[in-house]
This record gives sequence, structure tokens and C-alpha cells, in this order.
Amino acid sequence: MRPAPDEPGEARAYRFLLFAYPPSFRRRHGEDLVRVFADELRAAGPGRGLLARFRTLLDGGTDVLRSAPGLWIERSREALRNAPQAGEAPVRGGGGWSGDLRYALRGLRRQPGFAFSTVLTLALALGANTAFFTVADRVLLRPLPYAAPDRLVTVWDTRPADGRDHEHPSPGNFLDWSREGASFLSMTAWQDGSGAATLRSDGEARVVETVKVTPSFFRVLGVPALIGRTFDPGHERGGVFNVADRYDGGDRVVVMGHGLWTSRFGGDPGIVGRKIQLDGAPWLVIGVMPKAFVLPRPSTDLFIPWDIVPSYASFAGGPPRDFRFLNVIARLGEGRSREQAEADLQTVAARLASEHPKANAGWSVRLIGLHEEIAGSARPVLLLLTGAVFLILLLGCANVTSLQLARAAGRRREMAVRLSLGASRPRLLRQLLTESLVIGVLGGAAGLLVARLAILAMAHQGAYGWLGSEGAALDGRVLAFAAALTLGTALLFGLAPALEASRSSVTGSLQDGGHSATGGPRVRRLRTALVVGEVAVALVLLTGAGLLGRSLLRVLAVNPGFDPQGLVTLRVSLDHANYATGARARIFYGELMERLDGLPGVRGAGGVTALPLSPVGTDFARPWWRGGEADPGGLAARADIRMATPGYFKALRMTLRRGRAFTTADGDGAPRVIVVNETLARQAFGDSDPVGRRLILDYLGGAYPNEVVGVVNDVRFGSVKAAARPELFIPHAQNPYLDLTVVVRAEGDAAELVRRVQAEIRAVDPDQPAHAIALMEDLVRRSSSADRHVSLMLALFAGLALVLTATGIQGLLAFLVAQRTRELGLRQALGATPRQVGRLVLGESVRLVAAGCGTGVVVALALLPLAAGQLYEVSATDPVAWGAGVLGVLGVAFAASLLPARGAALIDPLVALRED
Amino acid sequence: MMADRRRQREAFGFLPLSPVAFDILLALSDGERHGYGILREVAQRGGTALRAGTLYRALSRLLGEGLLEESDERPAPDQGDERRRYYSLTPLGREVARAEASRLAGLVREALAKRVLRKADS
Repeated sequence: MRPAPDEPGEARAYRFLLFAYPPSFRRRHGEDLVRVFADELRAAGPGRGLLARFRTLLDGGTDVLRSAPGLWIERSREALRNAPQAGEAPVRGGGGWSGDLRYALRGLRRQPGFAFSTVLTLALALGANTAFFTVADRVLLRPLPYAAPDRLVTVWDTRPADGRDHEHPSPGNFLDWSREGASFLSMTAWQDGSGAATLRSDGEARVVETVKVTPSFFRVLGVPALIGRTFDPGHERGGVFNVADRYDGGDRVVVMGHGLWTSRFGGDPGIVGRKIQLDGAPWLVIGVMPKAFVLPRPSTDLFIPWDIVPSYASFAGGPPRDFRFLNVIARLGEGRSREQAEADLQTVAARLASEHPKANAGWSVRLIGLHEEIAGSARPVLLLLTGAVFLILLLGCANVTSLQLARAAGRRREMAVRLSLGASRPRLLRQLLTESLVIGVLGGAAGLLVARLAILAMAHQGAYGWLGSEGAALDGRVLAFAAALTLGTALLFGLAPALEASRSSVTGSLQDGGHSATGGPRVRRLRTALVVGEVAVALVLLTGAGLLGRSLLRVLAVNPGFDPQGLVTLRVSLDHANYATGARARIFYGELMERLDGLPGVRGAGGVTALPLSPVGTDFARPWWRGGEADPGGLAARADIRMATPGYFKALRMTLRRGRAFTTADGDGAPRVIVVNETLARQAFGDSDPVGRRLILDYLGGAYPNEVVGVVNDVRFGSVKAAARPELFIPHAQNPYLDLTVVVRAEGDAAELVRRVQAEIRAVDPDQPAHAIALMEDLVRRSSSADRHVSLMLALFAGLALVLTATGIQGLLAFLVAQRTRELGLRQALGATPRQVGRLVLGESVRLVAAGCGTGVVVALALLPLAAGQLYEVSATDPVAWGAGVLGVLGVAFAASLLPARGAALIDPLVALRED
Repeated sequence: MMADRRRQREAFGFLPLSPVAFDILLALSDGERHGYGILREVAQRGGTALRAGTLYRALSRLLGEGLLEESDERPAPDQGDERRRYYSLTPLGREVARAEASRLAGLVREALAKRVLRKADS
């Protein structure tokens, strides 16, 4: 098929597409196909424009790709039908790869059991490895979608004296860092947290997730807008927001996230340059970000520029240095390493600590790579499981090798016949490797299916954060990995058996009849070593699964300090325009709580600024000291501050240890009261009764005394595994926040309850939507999802390892029994009982398993420190898990040995001795 | 006579035909055509929308089953005398087309009797 020189470009492209067809079809009909295509092209008309011609090519190409697979299937079926029957063609030593291929396929068809078990084993092993590579690639390896992402770092406050190494920086310090560090890095900050605003358009109100960023945000990350533009630090200074987060002047512009743009505005590019109604005021949309831009979160709807300095104009010393809530990202300057930049920034921080000791004494900074920060806790989990899944692949290889060895041994005669008929050894080796390759490719292809399902399941479990769940797909990179892994695996399990089989000597094998049909001592040694290795790997995985399983039980048994059952949570973010004063927010929430309490079936309702285990909320800490003591300055201890309504503790079913909860009497103008948790009570007052004592709180621009009226139990706040933190509750009415998470406990259907609560919210304010609706039980479950994922995965791997090992042991013992049939028969003829013969085989098994367990214990001890980080209140040398691991392996090994042992016991001495 | 009877029996083994195969046999029923000629004939008649790849896959199969035969390449007057390969029905192919047509006619009669189809529709 050579193209004519005057052939139009479309026809050439079409000609190229024809390579999708089997060669025989292409040879026979290719030219005709191109001619017909050229005719169609002519019919579409040279004068009919490019579009018509392109359509013709598109239709023709689609048609080729659609009809090609069917042809391949038909051709390969024919090839199988017409293939020479057993032992015919390839013996001649001629024949190309396609002959080898046909022969290999036919061999597999003749032994469907062997084919099925090897392909299944490889599919599971390769599929699991591909799946984990996909996720690990996404989370750990692939560069983030920002310009020169390896130069991006996150900046954190540290206070080594209290073991704090990951605290949010403060606005005051951030400004000094960015000014003085300008020579070695460029910085940006954003304010995370409440960030909800009400977007109104076309008569619909909707709460959107906003984030306030310094104008250099997109410049530092180096990501342009999809349409429109991002903030220009030379042009926009940003908006001014007061402490209560209310807009106070400055630029009213936003950049829109891809999600909001498509879901609310139908992806209309005309949105750029238009104004949207945000919290009752018009804001100009200047750009839309691409879908791949997922900072700070994929769910971020709007980016609002923030002008820090004027926002703190009311503060005496300028932007505060001890309000630590910023997220800071920096781009390292040319030629600076992370370590150099960190050392330089620490010098700046040390100077700030001596200049502002009250806020900064003891504080320093630390830089962490942005990628490392985002991958975070997913990294050790992924490394652990990727290691485990690789062990499974080794196990699978060992099993298939063992099966192939057995098969090779059985084919020595066949090989000998072929050699004697003139086939060369390299020719036989090629034939045998082709067989392994066919098995590998079939396993790999089925493995892709397994991988796809596994990835979906992992994304569903959400164990690796958003990097893991966002668009993890089998792309070219992953396919290349899977292909390489498949080929490597096929070589690994194919080479030894192929060498073994092609080593047959013509005379030996032909002379000794069926004897060496089970292979020589070399095969036996190799298979024994493989089984010992399998037992070792199974023990490692089973022990690991046992440890993590016990750890999971501990996690699930944790009492979070409240009762999650039947608890519905939703976030209300009052519109800044409609609730300009605290008094209005106080009235809204007062009335809402009254209504919710009055609903039939409701057992409790409350509101809090930061709910345990919830992803939304305003969570911050402030310094405190005991009443009557001097201000300890920068050395003051800090407690987490939450504003709560009177019904909150009862709704969560927390326990009041001492004193009382808040009442409606603790309102505006009443004495300032607080409730503390046990940890704070212990920190502040030791064993003495805190009720009636005073704590000074440095909050809201001054230090005020507050009377402790009650002590509540500790709760698990950040996660069920996190230790309790000192917490301090202020009556919401005395510090009315606009945003509260509302919790309602009721019997019956949760969805129905949510509808009723939403109706009550609308009854108080028809324009006020709720968001972040969740069941408390789901939040608790989500908190342990990573633990459940690791345990489940390792349990699966351990189960798979046991099955593989059991088949390995059984296969080997059956092989040994077959090899010793004559000897065992002779023993019986000489008076050994079947029981004794069976015991002989079991003894063999015990030796194997003991060797495997010994090796396994050594390997496990070496590997377990890797898993230790994932264990919760379980020691890595937990005797129960170790005992269960060893017993499990022994039990499975024993069960797998029974059948071969029985086979040995049932040998009929007469038959055995007559065998040649 | 005997040969015809055997061919008739053999033809039933091919039923039911795929729509594409029937379209091709029908297109060739009034004489030989080249590939593009078949496409045009089918398109004008309003048959299955055919493209080259699907056509040749079906042709290859029909040739293999002995329903069609092909000529060596020779000039096609309607395509500027470019050389083309022509296809025509074998006696078996004609018999299969006839058998499929009568099978479909039987179905249409059935549809009329059950009032799935009314005379006015057809």
C-alpha cells in the first residue's frame, strides 16, 4: 500500500487509520477501502469546504475503529481453528511469533484450570498494583498543576518548647516576613475557616464557599485564569474586612472557581465582567479559574482579594501578631533551596520574637514543601499499602512460577521430542517465553479491569484526601506502568521454568520414560524455596493485618465524648448585609433555638461555632491566665474558643461534670461566664473545683475576666484519634457570631428532620439557606475512614496471600508425592501403614512452614516499624496479633497439606510398583 | 434440479442475515458493482448507513462464505476509468437473498395479520 503522490491529506490520514485492521484484511482490502474513502471525499466535494471533508474523515475513522475489533476477533478465531494440531508445526523449529502465539493459546485452552488460576492470580496481583500505582502517582509523584511546583512551600509557625510544629502564622508576622523575605521568596496568604457568603441570583439564595486571599495569591502559584484574569497585585489592593469579617471598603472584585461557574452559571464565559450579588452587595467577576485549580480546596467557589493592613486599622499595634490563623504559601527565589530559605526566614522570625516578645517569644518558622503538605497523612498509608500490594505481586509470581515449573517438568518429554526432531534450544526457549508472555498479557488485561474497580472503591472510601479522589484515572502513564509491570512479571515467572524445560537432554528424557515427568532435584529445590518464601510473605501480611485490625477496633471503640446517634448538623451563615449588628444575629439564633426545641420529637437543639469532627467551623485558640495573676505575656497557655447556645451541651449529650450549663439568662449585659472542658479545668486549677473561679481571656482586643460556671467532659475534636484539647465555651449571646453549626437530636428519619429544621430556619428568615448538612454519625465514621481503609486493604491482601500460599503448599506437596510414588508404595509394601505414610507428607509440610514462619518473623520484625505510625493504642509487637498471624498461617498450611497427605496414604503399593 | 434443492437447503443455514449483509446482497441483485457503487446504491435505497470499513468487513465475510465473488481489477467508467474490483452474487448468494426476503415477507404478513402494521403504513 503506497499512497499516490497526489492523494489528499484526508485520504493519507485514513490510510494510516487502516493499521487498526488485521494485516491480512488490510492487504486484501486496504487499497479498495482507500479508494471508496476517496470517492466519498469527492462526493463531499472539494468545493464544499474543509468542514464537510473533515466530517467525512471523522465518520470514516470512527467506522474503521468500530469495525476493527470484530475483525481481529474473527481472524484470531480462524487462526485458532486452522492452527496445527498438537505437536505439529512448532516442532519443526520454524514458524514465526504468530505460530508461537497460536501454540501458546492452544496450550492454555487445553488446560483451562491452569489457565484460569494463573490468569486470575496475575489479574488480582497486577490489578492491585496498578490501582495503587495510580493513586500513589496522583497523590505522591505527579507534580501539582502549578508553575514550577517544586519551588512552592508552605510556611508554618513553630513553638518547639510546647512541641507545636505546625501552627498557622499571624497577619502581623506574615507582613514582616513577606517584606523582609522578599529577596529570597515571594509569599501569599489566605484566610480559611468560616468563609461562607450568600449568593443571590434569579431569586435563588445559595451559600457559597469563599476564601480571602492576598492579591498575589495566583501570581505566587503561577496559575492564569481560564477566562478573564486573576488579581493583579499592582492593580488590586483587595477588600478591607473588619474583625467580624464584614466588608468595610476597597476593591469589590472576585475570581470564580470552576465548580460554581459550571453549576450555577452554566459555564457562561459572559460571567466575566458581570456583577454578582454577594451578601447583598454587587461584586465584579474578573475571571474564572480552570478546573484543575483546587487550592485551598476543590470546593472553593469564590476568591476574594484581601487587603490586610487597613483591615486591622482599629488595632493599636497594627495587624495582630498573636492571631494565628493564616495559611501561607511561598515561592522560593531562584537558586534558593528550601533549607536556605528556611534558615533565612528563621533569622527574621528570631528578630521578630525579640521585638515583639508578648506575641512571638519562643516562636519560630518552618517550611514544608507544598506537595508534601497536601499529600500529608496519605503518604505513610500509601507507602505501607503499596509495599503490601507489591508483596502480593511477588506471591502471585511465586505461585505462577511454581505452576509453570510443574508444567515444564511434565513437558520434558515433549521438549525432548522436539529437540530430537531438530528444534534448537533458543527456539524452544522462545516458545516457552511466549507462553509466559501470553499468560502475563491476559492477566495484565484482566488486571486493568480489577484496577479500575479498585480505584473506584478507593476513591469512594476517600482515604487519600482530594488528591486521591479527584480524577484518578487509568491514563497513559498508568497504562505504561501496567504494561511494564506485566512484562517484568511475565519474565520473572517465565524465565526459570523456560530454562528448566528447555534444558531437557534428548537421550535422558526419552530413555527414562515417564520418570522425570515430575522434574529433577533442581525443580524441587526451586519450588521448595518458593513455598518457603510464600509462607513468609503470608505471615508478614497476616500479622500486619492483625495489628491494624486490632488498632481499628480500638479506634472504633473510642468514645468521642458525645453521642452521635440521631444527631443532624447543618451550618447557618448569616448574611452580612442583613445582619449588620450582633444584636440581630442574637435574635435570629435565639428564636431559631426556641422553635427547634419546640418541634415534636426533638430531644435537644443547640448551636456552636466549631463542632467536633466537622469540616466547617471557626476554630481558633486564645491565651488565658488565672484571675488575679499577672499577664504572662507571650508565655500564656492557649485554649480553643467556641461560642455555644444554652442547649448545645444537652443536644450533644455531653456530661456536665460540675456547675451548670449556659442559660438564656447568660445574655448581653449579664456577667461574662464561661464553661471549660476537663482538660482546661485540670490545666488551670488542678484538682480544685473551678466553678466560681475566674479566667482572664485575651480576646476581642483586650483581656477580660470570665467566671467559670461549669465543667463539661472532653470531646475528640479534630479526629477520634486526636487527644483532647483545652476548650473554653462562651455563651453565643455574649459574643454573637454570624455563623453557627446547628445540631438537632431527634428520633426517626434524619432526612425528614433536616427538612423540618430547614423549614424552621426559613420561618425565622425566608432568605437564609443552610449548608454543610451532615449526620453526626457520618462525621464520626469519616474520621476513621483512613483506618478502616488500611485495615480493610491489609485484611484483603492477607486473605489473598493465604489463598495463594495454600495453593502453593498444596501444589508442591502433591508434586512431591507424585515424585515419590514408587518410594511411598515400596514403604507400604514393606509394612508402613497409610497413616505413617500420610504423616511423612505432613512432616514435609511442617518443615516447609517452619522455615517460612522463621523467615517471616524476621522479615516482619524488620518491616513493622513502617506500620507503627498507623497503629492506634496497639504495640507493633502486640502478642495477640502475632500469635494470630502464626496460628493462621499454620492452620492454613495444615489444611492445604491434608489433601496431598491423603493422596499419599491412599497409594496402592501394587499400582505404584508396577508403574514402569 | 437436485443441486438447486441442496442450495435452497444450504441457504436457510445463513438466516437470519444481518441488515448490512442483506443490503449488500440486494445491492448486487441487479448486477455487479464496485465497493463505492454498493455504498451509493444502499444509500439511495435508504438502507443501513454504511461506511467503507463496515462494508469491507461484511464483503470479506460474504466472500469467505461463498455468497459473493470478486473480479480482478478493471477500469470503472463511472469513476474516471480508475481501476476497481467488482463484486457479484454467486448462485448461493442469490438463493440466500431470496430466502431472507421471503423470511422478511413472512414477518410482514404476520405483522399485518396482528395489526402491528396496517396496509396504509406499508
